[in-house]
Amino acid sequence: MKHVADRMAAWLGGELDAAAAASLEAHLRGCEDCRREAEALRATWNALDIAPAPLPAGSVWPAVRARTLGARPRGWFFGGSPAARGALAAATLAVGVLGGRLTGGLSGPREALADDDGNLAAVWLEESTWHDESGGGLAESWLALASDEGTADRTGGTGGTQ
Amino acid sequence: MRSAAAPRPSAPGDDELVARTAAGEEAAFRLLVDRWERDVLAFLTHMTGSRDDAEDLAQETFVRVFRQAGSYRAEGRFRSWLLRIAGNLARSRHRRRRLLKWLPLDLERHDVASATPSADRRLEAEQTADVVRAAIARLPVRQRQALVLHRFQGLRYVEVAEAMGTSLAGVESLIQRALAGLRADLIRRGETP
Repeated sequence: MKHVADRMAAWLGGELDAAAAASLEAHLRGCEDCRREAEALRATWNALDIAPAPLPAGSVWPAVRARTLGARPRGWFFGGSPAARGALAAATLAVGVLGGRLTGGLSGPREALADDDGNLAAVWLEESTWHDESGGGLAESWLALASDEGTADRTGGTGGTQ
Repeated sequence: MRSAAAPRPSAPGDDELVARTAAGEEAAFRLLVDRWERDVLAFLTHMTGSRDDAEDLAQETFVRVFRQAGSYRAEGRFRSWLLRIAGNLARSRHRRRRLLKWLPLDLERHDVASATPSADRRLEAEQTADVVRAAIARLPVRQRQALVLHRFQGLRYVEVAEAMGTSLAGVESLIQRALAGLRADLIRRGETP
């Protein structure tokens, strides 16, 4: 069972069921340290009641339309099927990253690629698996680094790469 | 604080619009973009700390929606699917920038903080909001994603788990660590919440 200190965010967010919430609140009534911690986290939680960040004016629709319904056929790599792009990107990333780089401590680009816990393999797995479902990721970006085509595709809002 | 605009009873549902988008119907795709772009932009603005990045990634998100519409499974979970795409793109860009610059996180954090407009010309409420937004932008990216989806996009933990492809326990841990990290960061900078 988790300690109450590990469940406070869920409690503040209304994610605990009635029994768990009652149990946590009973604990807080009897434990000054936890009560103080709960009050502190509640203050932080409440500090998140901020006005929404200003959003960009206008709609993304014109650029999205130009890159989808209005797009012309694209280059050999980015015009290929997601599965083919994924396979090629995965193979390239495997050669570039996994080839001798998964061992030892992280530094330089390996550190840059790793997730919050320094886990490069997890990033590799995630980047290669969500490709099928949402059409690209770091593997594709990896290839784009060596290709102006990919960069133009991402930064341009009008028509994609030819 | 649920910001998603639920379709009116007479309006077509998201699943139907995705199916029509997959068939190439422009009006359906446009309706989908119009319905969800503010939500996606708000999420990405919190994730990236930059309006320009948010707009760029929002475009990319909807381009991916269009391209993948044919493989979408119509289970009434379009929002989770959409935010998963947006979140993956934000995290991918985050990693790509770290790779390109070979920057340690601390330097990147400095960039985020220095991008905040000068506070002394802002009203107090705006100053506070800026401080909080900057602290959110400094969170590790997965913690930030989970917190923003829950606290700002109004997703329940189960929906966050779906949008992030992780477990319920994982979401609880990410959000707990995010909240504790935010508090520590704000205290360290003399901004006790």
